[in-house]
Amino acid sequence: MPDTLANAIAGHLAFAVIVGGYAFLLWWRMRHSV
Amino acid sequence: MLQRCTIWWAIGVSMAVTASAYCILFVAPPEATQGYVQKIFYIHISSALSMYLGFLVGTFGALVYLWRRHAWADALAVAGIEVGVVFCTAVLVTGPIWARPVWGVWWTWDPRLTSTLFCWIIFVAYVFIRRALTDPDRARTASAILAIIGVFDIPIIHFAVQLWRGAHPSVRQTPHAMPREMYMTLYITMAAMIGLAMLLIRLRFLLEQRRQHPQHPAVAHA
Repeated sequence: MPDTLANAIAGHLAFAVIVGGYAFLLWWRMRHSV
Repeated sequence: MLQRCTIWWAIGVSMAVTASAYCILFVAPPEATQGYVQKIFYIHISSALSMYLGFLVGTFGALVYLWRRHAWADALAVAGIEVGVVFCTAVLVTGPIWARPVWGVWWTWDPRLTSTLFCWIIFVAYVFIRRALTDPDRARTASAILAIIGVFDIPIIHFAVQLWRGAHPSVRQTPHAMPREMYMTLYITMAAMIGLAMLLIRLRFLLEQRRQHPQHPAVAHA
């Protein structure tokens, strides 16, 4: 089995940053909208 | 203040995302030829589905807005398309990270990859057009037209592998080729990501409505 663990971690981290970052930003914008 | 159903929905989505992470880490076995990087498969496919959902919901809102000029339809269009762009970005970032050790390159101008990038550019333009045009009515109309143009790319992305046979694999080509644990992880991750996308669309929709009607009590406490 090839050693691709670094790419697997990088892929999941990138996903968490993009989607989690957007969710956090949305929560922040909602909090300051009223 | 959010409605109770939205809060319960958020709790349900958190549990589903936790279950999905557990399955990806501990239940799904690493693939024999690709190793651990194949685990990106679960979030990559689920992000693509959420991207479709966001763009389809957004285009539905854009169509209704052009037809009836309802403000809620424009809010739905913004919400769907913004969430679609986020998941499309996730697809375009996770794909090359998976492709590098498997294909040997980060990117290739394969039909599915190219059409997905094209789709991302159109819908990012949608987001920027709304901010660039100062007249709100013109911005809403122009962006709605752009959304309708962009949605024609969705079937091209979906059927690109069957139509042109590029480097990108198709899940349809190999039915029942994976162990049961992999299918289970895929379905749980898909359900979690669709639920998350729906929650984000709902929250973004509420935010846009608050911007449209800041004093309306039904919107302020929705």
